[in-house]
Amino acid sequence: MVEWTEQERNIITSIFSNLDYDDVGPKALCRCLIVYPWTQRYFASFGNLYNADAIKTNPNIQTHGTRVLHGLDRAVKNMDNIKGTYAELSVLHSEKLHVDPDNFKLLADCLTIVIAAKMGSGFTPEMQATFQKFLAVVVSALGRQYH
Amino acid sequence: MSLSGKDKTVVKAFWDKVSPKTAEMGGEALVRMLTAYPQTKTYFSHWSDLGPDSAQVKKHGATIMGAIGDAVSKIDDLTGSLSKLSELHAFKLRVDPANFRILAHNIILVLAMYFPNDFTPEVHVSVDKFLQNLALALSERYR
Repeated sequence: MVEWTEQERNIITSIFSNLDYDDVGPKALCRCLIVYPWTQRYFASFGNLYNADAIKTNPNIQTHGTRVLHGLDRAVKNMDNIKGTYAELSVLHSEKLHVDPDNFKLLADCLTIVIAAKMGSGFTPEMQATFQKFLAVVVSALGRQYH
Repeated sequence: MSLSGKDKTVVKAFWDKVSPKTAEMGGEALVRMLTAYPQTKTYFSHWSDLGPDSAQVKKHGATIMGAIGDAVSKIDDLTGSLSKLSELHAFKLRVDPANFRILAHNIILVLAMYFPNDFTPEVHVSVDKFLQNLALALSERYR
C-alpha cells in the first residue's frame, strides 16, 4: 500500500487543479514522440508524424495528449487505490494496445519536464519529488496487469 | 544512438546560450536529484548538509556543470577527453552508472525550467543524446 502524507496529497491536488490540460497534455505527448521516436510505433494510425513540426501540429496527437492527461484525474481522485483504479486501463494497454510498459516511464518523465517548464521555480524540489512519486505509482499500476 | 552533426551543432548553440546560468542550474539539478532520488545521497555521506540550501551541494553542482560544459567543447571526442574523469568515477568514487541517467534527468528538467522557450523538443532530444553519450564515456573505464 502506498502511503501519502497530507502534504503530498495537497501538492498533487494543487498541481492538477492549476493545470491547463489542453496545453500540457499535448505538449507532453509531443515531447515524448520527438525525444523518444520509437514511441511513435503506437500511433501509426494518427497520420503524419514524419518530423517534429508535423507531430506538434497533428490534431490527433493534440486530442490524445489531452485525453491521456485527463486519464490521470482518476488517480488524483483515488490516491489510496491507484492500483485498483487502473486495473482495467492496464489490461487495455497490455491486451489491446500492446504498449511496452517501459514507455510509461518515458511519458511520465516528459510530463514532469513540461510541468517544470511551465511552473518554473514554482515547481520546487519537494513538489518534484512528490509528483515523481505519484507518477511512479501510476506507471506501476498501468504495468500491473501485464502477463 | 551516437551524436549526429546536427546534434553537436544544436548542443553547442544551446550551451552557449545557457552558459551564464550553468553554475546556478548545476546546483539546482544536484539539489533536485538528492531530494527526488534520496538513494543518491549515499554517495555524499561525507557532507554535513544535503538539504536544498546546502552550499556544498550547490558548489558541487556547479563543478559538475562546468565539466559538462567542457565536454561540450570537446564533443567530438568524449571518450578521450573524459578519460581521467572516468578513471575517477570508476576507481575512486565507484558511482553506479545507473545514477548518471538520474542526474541527466534532473539536469534536463532544470534546463526546461530556466529556458522553457529555448529547450524545445528538438533541442531536448539532442541534449538527451549528448548526456547519454557523456554517461557512456564516463563509464568507459569501469570494467
